[in-house]
Amino acid sequence: MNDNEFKQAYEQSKQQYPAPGRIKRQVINQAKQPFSWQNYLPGKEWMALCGALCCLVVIYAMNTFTQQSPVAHSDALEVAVAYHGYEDELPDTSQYQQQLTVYNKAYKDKLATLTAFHSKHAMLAKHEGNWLFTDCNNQKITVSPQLMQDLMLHKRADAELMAGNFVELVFDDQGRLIQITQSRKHLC
Amino acid sequence: MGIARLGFLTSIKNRLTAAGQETAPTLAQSSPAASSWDSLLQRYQTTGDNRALEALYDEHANRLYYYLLVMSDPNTAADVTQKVWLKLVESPHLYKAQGQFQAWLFTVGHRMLIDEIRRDKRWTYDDDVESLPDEHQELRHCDDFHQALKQLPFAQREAFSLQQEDFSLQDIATICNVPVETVKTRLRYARDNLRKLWKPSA
Repeated sequence: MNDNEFKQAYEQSKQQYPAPGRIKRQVINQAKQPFSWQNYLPGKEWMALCGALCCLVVIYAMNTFTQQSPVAHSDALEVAVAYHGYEDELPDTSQYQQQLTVYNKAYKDKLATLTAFHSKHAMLAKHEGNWLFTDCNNQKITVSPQLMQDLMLHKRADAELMAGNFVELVFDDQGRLIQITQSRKHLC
Repeated sequence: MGIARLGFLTSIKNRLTAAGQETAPTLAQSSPAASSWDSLLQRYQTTGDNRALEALYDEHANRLYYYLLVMSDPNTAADVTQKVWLKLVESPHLYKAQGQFQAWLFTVGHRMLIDEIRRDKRWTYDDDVESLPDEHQELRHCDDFHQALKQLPFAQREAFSLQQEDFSLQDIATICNVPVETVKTRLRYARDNLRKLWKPSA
């Protein structure tokens, strides 16, 4: 058998099996349908992907909002301020009301042995000049540079604290700051 | 409607391309008839003239259907044929006028058929070019060419059918996504096996 015989047999066979007429009807009917947006909308897979991305964006936005909740500079909130420092560092208190916690030399001597009484979580907002912490209730806690230096000297504060770090502020039974422990977690 | 439609179709093309679906392959087949098919398709693309589509369908539908029928069963062949033409209706811009409309049509058909086979696993898409499919069983000699053709392994059957549709070796290689040498081998074995299987009645 040569190629011509194969070709002839193939063509004859093809004529015995024509495409069903319904296919043409359906194709032409489909072509006659007016313009539909549905044909040009993304498929189900893309819609699902877009939905998933939207969910991720919403979750990210919510997470970001939660992280930023301990606002360090919010004029809209009524902010209580606690100042922790030594007697000779008292700041000017004429502009705003502050809760002052003043330490004496005995405190410095006892820093190594003072025991914790309570603690609160906060975020370091600023560490230039006074160290400013903001707790989960948006209360500002200011710590004088000298006090921070002494805490670091007694290894009661991490020397590598950075703005934005979350910390646990530990106080003694008299409300004095005795330790600042850095946390890797978002505590607020 | 034509201009607005083409604008929207651009995004559809990107979508299909990104999803790894059919894009126009680079094929060698080109002839005066092919250019007239191109002009028909262009008319359909720009004006939405269904008569142009109908003319294209009448010219090519039986060829595509029979190729798919040889490669599968009547239901699958009909389904895939319809899907190929509906794809053309919905996204006519996917074909770029290169004088290779039939080759493009068969490439889309081939890919859709492979997808169908993988989904249903009803047939084996084999690359066995040297043997008959049922070598372990008794060969069924027959005088019906169609039945003899159906007994060939998938790859041989496909190469042979495409050659009977006047595609060049290069076109077949492109449609099947294999080297030209592989196509030649498949064709040689297909002819040899057909000679064993097909015994036309005098």
